[in-house]
Amino acid sequence: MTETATILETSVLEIQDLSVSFDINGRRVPVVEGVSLVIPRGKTVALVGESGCGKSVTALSVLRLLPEPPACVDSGRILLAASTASSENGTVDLLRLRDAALRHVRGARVAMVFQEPLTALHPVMPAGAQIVEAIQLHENVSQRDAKTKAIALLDDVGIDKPDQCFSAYTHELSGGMRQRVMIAMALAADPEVLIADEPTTALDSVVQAQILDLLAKLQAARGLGVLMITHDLGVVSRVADEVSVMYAGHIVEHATTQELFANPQHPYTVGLMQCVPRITANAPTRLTVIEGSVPRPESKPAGCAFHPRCLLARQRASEPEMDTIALEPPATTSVPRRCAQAASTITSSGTPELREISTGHFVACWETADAHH
Amino acid sequence: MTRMLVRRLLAGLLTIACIYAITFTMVVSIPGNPFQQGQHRLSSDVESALLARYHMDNNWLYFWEFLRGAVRLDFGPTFTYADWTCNQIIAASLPISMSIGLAAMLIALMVGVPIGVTSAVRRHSWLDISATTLILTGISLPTFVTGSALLIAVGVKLQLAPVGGWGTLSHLPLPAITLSLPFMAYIVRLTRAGMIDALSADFVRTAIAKGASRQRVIWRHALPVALLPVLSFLGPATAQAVTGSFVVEKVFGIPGMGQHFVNAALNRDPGLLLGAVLVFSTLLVAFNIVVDLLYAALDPRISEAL
Repeated sequence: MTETATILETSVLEIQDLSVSFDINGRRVPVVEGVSLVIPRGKTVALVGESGCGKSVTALSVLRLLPEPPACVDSGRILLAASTASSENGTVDLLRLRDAALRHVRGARVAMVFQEPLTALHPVMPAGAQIVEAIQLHENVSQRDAKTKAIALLDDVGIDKPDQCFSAYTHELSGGMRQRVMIAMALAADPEVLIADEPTTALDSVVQAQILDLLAKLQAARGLGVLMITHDLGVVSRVADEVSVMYAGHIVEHATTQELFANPQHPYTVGLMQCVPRITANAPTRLTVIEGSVPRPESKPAGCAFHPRCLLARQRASEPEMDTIALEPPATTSVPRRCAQAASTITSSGTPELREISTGHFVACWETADAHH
Repeated sequence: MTRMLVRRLLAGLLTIACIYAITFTMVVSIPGNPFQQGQHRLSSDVESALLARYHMDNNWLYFWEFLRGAVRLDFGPTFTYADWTCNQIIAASLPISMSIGLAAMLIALMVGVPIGVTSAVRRHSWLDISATTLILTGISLPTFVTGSALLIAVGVKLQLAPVGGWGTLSHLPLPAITLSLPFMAYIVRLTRAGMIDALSADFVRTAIAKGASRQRVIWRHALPVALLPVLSFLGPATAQAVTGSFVVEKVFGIPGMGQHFVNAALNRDPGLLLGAVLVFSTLLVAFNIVVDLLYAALDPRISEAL
């Protein structure tokens, strides 16, 4: 416990070395491998990646919302710092909590906002009743007080007529309103951490911006630690203080938002950024894409999982002198240039690990890490 | 809501009218008439006089005359039971069938829903497997088998209930349980399927993320959504249950209404047969409307569409 206490001095939630696998037709398939994330108090950390990279699985495993089976958390710790409000709770590992204790964390200390509010909200329960329930699950208040608080929350999340919205059903609300209700419900028991799993993906772009502004406002007002799961770099640049980029179950790069956008290192991050369309004065250029798609977890390539799509790896592989380099024994001090070796060697050289290349900037790539040594 | 109710009532009347027309056509197409039954033959003069007396010599006239009586809730005389009108027979037997039928539906729901929920929650457990087996048995076994088995086991061997007849409360359980079994089987199946769907829905995950307990998630969040298909089944099922089952009444010797459907047809008793069919179809329409109203009350998405 002493060790974890020091780790959690400035952070509110830490995911340490999380590995999750799924049982697919009797085979254990790793989906998240050794993911670590730190959410500082009052900051937003974004977890970015393409669909299927494991970012939602990471988010869901924090509150143990994955169906087990088929999912299985193989290793790791998810540490929630001792709450500032009540000192009787020390740091807890959410992965080791019993059901009853976990229920006091869910919604109360760590809350979630889901991607598709239409299906995530209850279809036959009015919006207000759902928020009242979230309040009463964690606070011993009367129905009337809970209702007053729920209406205040609806007001906080920017709903015009909170009284009307209170008694409205999910299908009667617009997409943006639904997500606001979802956020109000998440904040009902004053959590310390908010996990937002693609909260704006199902919304149109104007509403997206409004919801992001709302989240930023609420976060500042309440000092929330936010884990924002998204595939949208626009969202990242708008709300995140720090970014982790995820690919095929691994974090491949982590930095502050400013640093990442100014100085992306991993070829995957670079690729992602080139995918974002830009409006420039020049004639429109072709949109760059990262060729191929995220490998399925059950058929992940050996070695660096990104190498089949990596421009750097491909460039090196086509250089004629590459073979001679590969034959040289690697110098003991330098990182072996494994991407530069023949394809057969790439696959046998294991997964690159995260290395700190400058303060707070971590990259998991044979090539870029090498360049900085 | 009122508009929907008016529309449903009008549609219901039309349905009943259609059922009447079809049943009437079938009744008059059966060869023979009520005055040709039994050993002693009536002379053809008497027979045709009787037929004329009850308008049965002219199908069109009979169609309208019976209908005229029926809308005034008068189904005329029966030709099977001396000194009884069809109304008296129905009035005597319908309450009996109603009590058995309602008791049966209550049992079917109170046992079926919890079993369905439990087997959905513990899918592939021994409980689920035995429940599923039971469902198959319940659907496949005819009531004369389950009824007789119950009668022998509880009535004869254990002597816990009378073996038949009607009159006291102790006569109710055995026929009610027998009648409930096939309905129960369907309710278990519908509840189980509905719960499996509901439990994997996003809103259930939201409820867990909120910190709701497992029991709360199951009964408060998932069940109301899972029960909607059960509700639609209840309308026609209840109408069927309360109008009596010929088999159950035969096995337990109960003077209910189910027997009249069969006996009236065998006896070529058009008044009683048409009367019984009209009572059944009215109940069917009524229960369906009640179910629709309940459905709208439970699911706001439906009430909006009405």
